Amino acid sequence: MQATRWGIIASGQGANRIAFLYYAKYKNPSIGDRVLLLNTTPADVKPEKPLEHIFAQSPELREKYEKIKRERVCIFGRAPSGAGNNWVLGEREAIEDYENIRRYIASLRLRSSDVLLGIATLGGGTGNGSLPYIIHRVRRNPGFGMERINNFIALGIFPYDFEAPQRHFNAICGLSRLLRYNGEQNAALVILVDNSQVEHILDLGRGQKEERYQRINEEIIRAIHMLIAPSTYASKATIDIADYYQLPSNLGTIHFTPCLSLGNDPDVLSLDAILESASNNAMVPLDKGTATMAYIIVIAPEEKVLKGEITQEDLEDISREWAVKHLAGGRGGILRYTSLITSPESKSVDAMILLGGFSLRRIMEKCLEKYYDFKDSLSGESSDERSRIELAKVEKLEKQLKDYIALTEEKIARLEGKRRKAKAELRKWGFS
Amino acid sequence: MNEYVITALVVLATLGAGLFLLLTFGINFVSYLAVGVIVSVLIASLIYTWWKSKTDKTVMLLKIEILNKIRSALDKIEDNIKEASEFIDIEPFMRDLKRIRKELISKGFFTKDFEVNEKKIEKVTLTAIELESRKVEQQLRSLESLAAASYGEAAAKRMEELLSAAKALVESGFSVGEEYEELRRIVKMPSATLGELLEKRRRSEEVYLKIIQKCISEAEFLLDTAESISAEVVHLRKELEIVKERRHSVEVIPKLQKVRSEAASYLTKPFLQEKKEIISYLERLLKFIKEDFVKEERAVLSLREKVLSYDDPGYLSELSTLREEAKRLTLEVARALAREIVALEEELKKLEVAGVRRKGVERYVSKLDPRKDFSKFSKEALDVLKTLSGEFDTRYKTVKIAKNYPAIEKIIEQKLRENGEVSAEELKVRYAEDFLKRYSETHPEVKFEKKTLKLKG
Ligand SMILES: Nc1nc2c(ncn2[C@@H]2O[C@H](COP(=O)(O)OP(=O)(O)OP(=O)(O)O)[C@@H](O)[C@H]2O)c(=O)[nH]1
Ligand SMILES: [Mg+2]
Repeated sequence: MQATRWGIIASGQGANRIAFLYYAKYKNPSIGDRVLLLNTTPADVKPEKPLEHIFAQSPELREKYEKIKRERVCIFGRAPSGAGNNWVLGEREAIEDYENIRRYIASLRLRSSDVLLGIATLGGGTGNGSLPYIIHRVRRNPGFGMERINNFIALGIFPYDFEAPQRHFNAICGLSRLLRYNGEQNAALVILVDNSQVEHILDLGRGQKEERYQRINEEIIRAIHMLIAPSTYASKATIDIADYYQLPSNLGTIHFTPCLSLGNDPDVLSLDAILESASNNAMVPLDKGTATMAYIIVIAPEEKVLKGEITQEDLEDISREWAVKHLAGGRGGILRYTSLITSPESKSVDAMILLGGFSLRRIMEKCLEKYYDFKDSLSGESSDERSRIELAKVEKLEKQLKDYIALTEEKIARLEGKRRKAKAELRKWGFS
Repeated sequence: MNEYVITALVVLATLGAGLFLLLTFGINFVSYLAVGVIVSVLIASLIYTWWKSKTDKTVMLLKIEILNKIRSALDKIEDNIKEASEFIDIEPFMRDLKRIRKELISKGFFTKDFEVNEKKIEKVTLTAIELESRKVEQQLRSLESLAAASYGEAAAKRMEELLSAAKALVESGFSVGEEYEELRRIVKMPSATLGELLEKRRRSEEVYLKIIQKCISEAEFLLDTAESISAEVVHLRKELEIVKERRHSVEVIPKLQKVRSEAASYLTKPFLQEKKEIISYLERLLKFIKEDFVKEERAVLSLREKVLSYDDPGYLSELSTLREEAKRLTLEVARALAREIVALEEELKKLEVAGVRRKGVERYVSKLDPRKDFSKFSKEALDVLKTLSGEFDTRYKTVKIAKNYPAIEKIIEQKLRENGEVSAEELKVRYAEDFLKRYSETHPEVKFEKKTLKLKG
């Protein structure tokens, strides 16, 4: 089987850091150098400014950056000081300068069968504003010299709990626009990560701001690595990338979050314990037992697999038990894939569960107050047309997200609530 | 009439040409030309004479060669027939050969001492000699096939005899299988002429002798070994002497078989016992080999295979080599254990686990002395290995627990939060009890009951 090729498009400052860190730390053949950094930072500030902290770690990384700088760093738009936390402006810049962005994306030379991972922080203006639009264009009407890319997965990062209201307002609008654009499904999958939650599971104390991001970003790129892993290594039952999005798209619920449990000693921890510990590490706050979908990816040392100590069959069994216990409805949710990947280099077992379709209540809980604080004070009458946040548009986005959430909740409720009586069902099918 | 005219014309033409040349080129040129022509004619006639005599000589040489061939064919067949005399009456054949020779002498081809008669054959034509050669060849061929027919039968009988003797030896346990196969191949080789038959016979006798020789040394070895465990073998040695004296005769086969089976029967019991001793030792050794000691494990397993593959008491004395090998491998395993223990101790130090002291386990290894005899050595070795293995296991476990505790601690915390308690079984990790104990030691809010952790209150 031919390995799936991936590309990464990161827009905005936070996303640039994450994508570059990933590019610098993982030599991944299925990515190659297909990593594109987009930003609106004006020309008098060096575009690599946000990356200085990463460079400080090793001069090698600066060299690596210099190498990709010319072809892989795209500054778009004409605002003098970036999007300034205003996603409307971020989107406008992308729309107006799409031709510029398109040229850079085209230079990744992607084919329609490839997969794109788009990254944006949801609290800012640039990434949050532009990425939904770019996804929309690339999936439907990418323009000259490009094939349409259906497998466009979005990774959106929620602000810290303590951040300012406009950030949470941005996040709600951004989430809505990643899920749907003009009423149609937008990204193929939307993977969500929450800064505060990641810090919580990492047990980080209060460090310096940049350092905090660094630790979180490192965790995020591990999740990206696990996401791409099935395309990189030989796996027995590869979760083909088509499987990542086709069924969720059919179900209509497309949001996921990674749950990592890495570096486990296979001599001590059983697969059960590893999955169990992964499920405690969801990267967004969520209510346990509400997820309806799970992709389970396990990378195990080759020798353990060859010796038969870890097998795909065992993993399937354990995943099933795990799903019955942890997914909604007590019968293992709606959808589940399990993939065992062997790695000749690694000595430990890495696991990622992509939990999907879970209730968004806890995320909304954290954002809603601040969202309204900001929204309710919007006048919708900014003099600058390009950056004006129109109330009607916000209402539309709100409605769109409400619909999506209603769909999610309905699916969970259906699994949880009326557990259908098999007998009654059978009768409907004509059995007496 | 005409000839005169032509001659006259030629003379006239020559003179004319001479006159013409003389007039045109002058006297000098013409005299050079004349001398040149004369010299050329002289050289040509010399070459012609040389060539003529040479062809005569070639013919003579050919004649001699043919006759020599006849003579050597006669010699060869005479030799072969003499060699075949073991199985056939050669008188008539020799008579025929003598007759053929006489005839050739009387025809003048050969002198009385059967040398080629060069003087006389000068006058005989090459064709006549060729005819004679063909005739003699014919006669010899029929003579030979006659001889081959009667010899072949007898020789085949002898070779079958050798073959079945060799087979009997193989079957009674002598390790001459390869030689037997060689003999079989030779005997089955196709052979038509007397020469081929004789060659085959010669080679099979050679191989057969090789077989007997090998069996004799094997038997002697068995007798020596048996004697070394003070078995009474004098009578068998006597039998073997007879075998040595009459090694060509297949009749000694039963004697060889007897020597072998009796000597082996003395050896069987001690052989089986020693073999069992080694095998059971190796199996106990294997139990001390840790998962990562791939090289050592492979070495011990292959030694065990080797010991198992020795299934004839004749190998009794080889077992001592294998015992030495087993000792050597024991030392390797012990050293590997000591090495790993030290590595684990280093790791514990790095992990800052309290109460880790280097124990200097190498001293256990130096206790092992491979010069001691096997039963003593193996007893001591098993003790040492047991100690080392125990030390290894405790350290290994301590390292594993120290390294994995942070991850497990989180799992325990989660379970306690969900259920207020967690059991070793639920934890689904190795050393679960130790992890729970350790957790209880650092968390006063929980108490550890046998195999279960409960939140207090
Ligand atoms: N995880 C993570 N989050 C970041 C990082 N940098 C910024 N953020 C978060 O992203 C939000 C700010 O978005 P930025 O990425 O800085 O903004 P932008 O996309 O460049 O858009 P502008 O508003 O135009 O600057 C805040 O919620 C930050 O907490 C980072 O390196 N890692
Ligand atoms: Mg910015």
